[in-house]
Amino acid sequence: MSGGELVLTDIVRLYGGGWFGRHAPVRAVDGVSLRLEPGKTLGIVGESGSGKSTLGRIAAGIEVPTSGRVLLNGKPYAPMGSAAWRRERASIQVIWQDPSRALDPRMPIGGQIEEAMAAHRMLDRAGRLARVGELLELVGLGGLGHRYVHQLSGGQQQRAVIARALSLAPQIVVCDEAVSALDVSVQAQIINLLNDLKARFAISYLFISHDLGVVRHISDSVAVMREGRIVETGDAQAVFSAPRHPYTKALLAAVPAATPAERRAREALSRMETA
Amino acid sequence: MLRIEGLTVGTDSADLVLDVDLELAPGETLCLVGESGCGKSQTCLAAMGLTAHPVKRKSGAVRFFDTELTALGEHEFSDIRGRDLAMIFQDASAALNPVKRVGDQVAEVLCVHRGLSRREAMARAVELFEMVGIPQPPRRVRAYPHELSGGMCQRVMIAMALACRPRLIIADEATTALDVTTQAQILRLLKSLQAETGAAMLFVTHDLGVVAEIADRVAVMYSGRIVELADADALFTAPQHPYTQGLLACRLHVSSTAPARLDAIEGTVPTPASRPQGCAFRMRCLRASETCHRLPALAPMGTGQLVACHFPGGAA
Repeated sequence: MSGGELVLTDIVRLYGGGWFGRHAPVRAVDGVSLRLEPGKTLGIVGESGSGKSTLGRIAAGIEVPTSGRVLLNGKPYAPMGSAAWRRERASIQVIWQDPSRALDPRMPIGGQIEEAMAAHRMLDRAGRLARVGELLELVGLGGLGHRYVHQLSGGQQQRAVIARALSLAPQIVVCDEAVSALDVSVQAQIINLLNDLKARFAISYLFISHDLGVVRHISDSVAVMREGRIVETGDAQAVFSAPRHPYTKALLAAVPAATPAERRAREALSRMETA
Repeated sequence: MLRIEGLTVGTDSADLVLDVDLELAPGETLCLVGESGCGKSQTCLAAMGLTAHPVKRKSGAVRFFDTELTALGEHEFSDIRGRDLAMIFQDASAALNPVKRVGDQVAEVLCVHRGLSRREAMARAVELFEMVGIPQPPRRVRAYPHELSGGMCQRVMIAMALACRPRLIIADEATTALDVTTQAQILRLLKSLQAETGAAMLFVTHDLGVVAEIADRVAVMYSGRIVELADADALFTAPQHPYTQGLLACRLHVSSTAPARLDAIEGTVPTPASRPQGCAFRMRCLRASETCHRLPALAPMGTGQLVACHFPGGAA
């Protein structure tokens, strides 16, 4: 596995519009250009309705933009639904927010990981089974391949989803709110796991989240989205420690304080400004 | 004003809340923090007498001023519940009636519990909408829940909760589903309304940032029990229980950088049915020893907080 490069140029995605254009269409994504560098993590932050999930689906090739270009390692995606398109899916995987819905409740998790590899005609059966064992070990689920979804905790389920995504040796993994539903202590475990895997296999991540703290921690660079557009982009540490766009500033100011002392300092400051 | 004593809640096969004691003074905000399944919501529901089959209150008392709530009949309880207690839930769009105008839903509370006429109640509903910061109140009272955004629905819920000027507000993850900017507005709103009315607030959340914003005191729950009870400042500056320390160590906050590798608490919360003997945290605790097979009592520390741990304090 090695990281791929993903370049999005002038992506626009319109929804609706009604018959004969009686309603103006919703501009879910409105002219976005981004570059995900090989082996790096690009964080996308924004509030609900900002278009970040739509952008993630377009980047993963499972939704077609109204206009604009998506290039994976310099090549555009094959037409959606074609055999070539299906083959391409192995190189770009998605991890969603809710692992219990991403996994099949009627099949043990080991079987689901093997099935993904079988669908892409990887290895022979014995080789796949050995690989399943390795992958489960890698994500911290060693020996639990026979378990069903309901026999795993939320964190373990997300680990299984990660193992299944990795089984196809992807170059890029799109994480759409992948740790948002997890409890903080488990969230930290999964973030550590994602970072370990990135270091080991040089995977590129497109990390979509509304949680600014998580994005700051995991990202190399970051893009702030609002109403389908990117309002600010740059190095993650720079954007969060010295935001330039007013919207980024407003977003950061709305994040709850880290401690009561920080809150009081912030309140005192805002009183001074209004006085 | 609110005193919960020895509250135990559970099903026939497992206990979800174990021997919880809490006290709340007028005007005070107590945050109940913990991970999913630790019993924080069940504690609130039991305090409100709203446990649903198969969950029931097994023992313990809930006293509100001089009234023993647990001794009341359903009819008297629902009278107090509507007038003096109010509850705000996480999912406002699910808590509101989808086929009724939001203004009517708020007015109904006033008709039932305050005996206002419909006309008076509607006028009051408009005032309440104004108070919680809903723009164009006379128009918005006529809206249906699906016509409003999540933040607006949450404001309607708050307006409904405040309609009878409750003396106690119980908010269960009231801002969790909202965007940060909306969350900041709602928290500010709750605080200013609380300052105005002097109501006490029991605020359930899993987000330590929200705790820092709103709490006077904090109770940390783990697997059904309170493991640490402290003033908000003390909890953040000198957490004593290893679980609290772990929670604070692995949180990511946008205002600071964390070490590249997070100090995650290994393992997961035990299910109520598989809770170990003694301290429930010992399976994940680095300090655990033989002693921890005995249940630690919630005992006062020199620092003023209550901690349930045999080996409290130490490095955060």
